[in-house]
Amino acid sequence: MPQMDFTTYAPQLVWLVISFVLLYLLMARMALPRIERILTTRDNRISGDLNEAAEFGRKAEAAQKAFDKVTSETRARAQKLAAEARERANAEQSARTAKLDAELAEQSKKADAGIAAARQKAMASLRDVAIDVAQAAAERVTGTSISKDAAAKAIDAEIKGAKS
Amino acid sequence: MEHEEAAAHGPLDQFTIDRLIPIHIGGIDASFTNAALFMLISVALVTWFLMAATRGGSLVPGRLQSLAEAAYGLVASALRDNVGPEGKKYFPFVFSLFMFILFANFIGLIPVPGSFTVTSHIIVTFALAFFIFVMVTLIGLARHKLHFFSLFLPAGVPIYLAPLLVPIEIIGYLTRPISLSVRLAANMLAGHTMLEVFAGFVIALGIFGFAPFLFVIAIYGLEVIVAFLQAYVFAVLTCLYLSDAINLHKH
Repeated sequence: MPQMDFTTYAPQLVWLVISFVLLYLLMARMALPRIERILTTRDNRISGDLNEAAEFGRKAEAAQKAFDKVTSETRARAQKLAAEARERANAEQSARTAKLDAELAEQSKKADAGIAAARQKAMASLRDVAIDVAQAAAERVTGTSISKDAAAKAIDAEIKGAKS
Repeated sequence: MEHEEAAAHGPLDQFTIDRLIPIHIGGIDASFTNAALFMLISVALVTWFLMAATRGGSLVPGRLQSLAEAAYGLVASALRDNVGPEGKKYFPFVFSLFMFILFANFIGLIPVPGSFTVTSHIIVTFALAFFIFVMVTLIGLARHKLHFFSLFLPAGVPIYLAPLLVPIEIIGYLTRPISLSVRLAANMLAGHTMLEVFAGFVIALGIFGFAPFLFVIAIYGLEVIVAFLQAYVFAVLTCLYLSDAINLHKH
């Protein structure tokens, strides 16, 4: 069995040491740093890309938030403006209504005054007519004429009695 | 005697060491043998494979680059899982060990005349295993000083069991280089011998040779798996021994 031929041990050991040391140096100095560099580059690239994606996500979220803020602000402002306009319109409306009411009241007061004056005038002329009628009626019934003053006195007394 | 064996064409002839260039330095036989040639071929192929695979160094790896990265990842994760971050220092060593054994095993499986499997020789695997044994012991002693010997008494064991357990642990520790080297060499030796024996049957049986031929194909597939597995087992056990020396059972 060739494995048990001790005379071959020395050359095998010598060349094993030579080849293994050679391989170790080649691996440690050349091959492994190269593979390591490739793997690190890839890892960095992947994590870099992931970070970038996360950054973009954050930016998009911030933009969305800003957009939402502007939208809600604008909406609030629009509502405020609309409310103000409505209030102003209401105020104007009520002012105009009040003015109109006042005018109407004024006019109706004036009309009432006119009516009262007319009635007083009518009442006054009614007394004159009543005095005339009373004078004529007394002349026709009794055949005697009464003075205008006496008729007026009697009418006034009657009016006074009717009024009270 | 070598010539007589070669003439007999036994199944063990494939393991014969031939002195291609006889070299003697200071009484030491440093002849360049076929074993040495195949060791250097392994070194050259490992290096060529890794350098060619990573030449582009592309972000998205091609086929070769994926293989090189897979080999790197395999050893790196074995070291990380077994030893932890402390093991990073020994990565080039374990990786060289794995690739050397893996390529030596694979090259030995290429069926060409003069093909030779470096790892089928117990002296080669024993030298590697013994070196690992010494290295691991020195690392353990340097890190933990005398506390290193607590490795032989696992924590939580009742003290009255110590007289029984400590010798067992010590024997287990001392036989590590033997089990490690014999496992690899015996697997290679047995596999190649079996292939050779059944390949011999193919010729001997003539027309009925197809039966052992099919068997040889099946065994060959198995041997490819064994070649990879033994290299991996060697590397993983090296990681475990390193872990013992660095972490002293606690992890």
